[in-house]
Amino acid sequence: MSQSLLDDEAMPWPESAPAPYGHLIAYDGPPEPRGLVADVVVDGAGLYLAASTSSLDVRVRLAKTVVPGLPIVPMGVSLRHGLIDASLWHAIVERARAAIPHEVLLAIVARDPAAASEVFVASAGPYTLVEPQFDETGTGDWQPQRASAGAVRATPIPDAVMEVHSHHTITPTSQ
Amino acid sequence: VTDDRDETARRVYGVLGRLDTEAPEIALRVPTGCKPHAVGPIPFGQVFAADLGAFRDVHFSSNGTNVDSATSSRQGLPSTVGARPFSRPSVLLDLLLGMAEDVAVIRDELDGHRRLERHSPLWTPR
Repeated sequence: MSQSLLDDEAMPWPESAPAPYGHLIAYDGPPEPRGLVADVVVDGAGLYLAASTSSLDVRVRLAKTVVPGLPIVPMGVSLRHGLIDASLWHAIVERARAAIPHEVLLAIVARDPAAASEVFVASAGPYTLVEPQFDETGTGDWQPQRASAGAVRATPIPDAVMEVHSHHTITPTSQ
Repeated sequence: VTDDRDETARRVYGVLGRLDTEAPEIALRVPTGCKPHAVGPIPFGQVFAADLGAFRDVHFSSNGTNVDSATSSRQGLPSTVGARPFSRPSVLLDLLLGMAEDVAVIRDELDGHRRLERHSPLWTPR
């Protein structure tokens, strides 16, 4: 079953390596992580996927059904370094409003900002709010974000805890 | 940024909207970052230690309840068990299914009463 969750053309999983996916039952709340990639967990409300990084734990519902006798595990995210301070929320809003009529992309990292690829905006506690820059050619030639009223282009930060960008409108189907 | 195509890494994604109005909006979500690919909406309070202020959490009501009964969107899984993310029809569908179940229970109880009345030696005034 584990293999079927991976790419169809995936290479065989090394026998000595931990299983890529754990298949668990939430008898007493969220079980301890087991899979190297993620865990598929049965709880009182159905089936969910649990995964994590060094900064957050993620639980996303895959299928809903009633499973009698098991507790319902709340879905969503748990930030390992704690909630993000209100000052960074206000800084995000202020920066996004300042960018109007253009969009802007901001990111929160749980470390100090990188030299060329991230422009410092604000920091609070373990988190730093930065403006990711754009390396179109992948050669380290960092440029400011390329933004317009309908789009923004920047190079993603691999270890970002959060990315947030501004829209003029939100359509629930596209986020 | 093409949100649905680009925002697939294991992190929180947020979008701010209607910033130049008196009713700005925020929507937060988190993808699994692996197969099966799925995306779940998350409430503001799971991420920020702050008040929403004038902002409206698009996916959640003011009391933290998901505005859609579906808790996640899914891609790459069979459509027979798929939820309809962020869309009103799934709420209506759940309501209709709930009503249908209630009607079925009421009908069964009425049928049971009728059978009892038919076999009862006592006359019951109507």
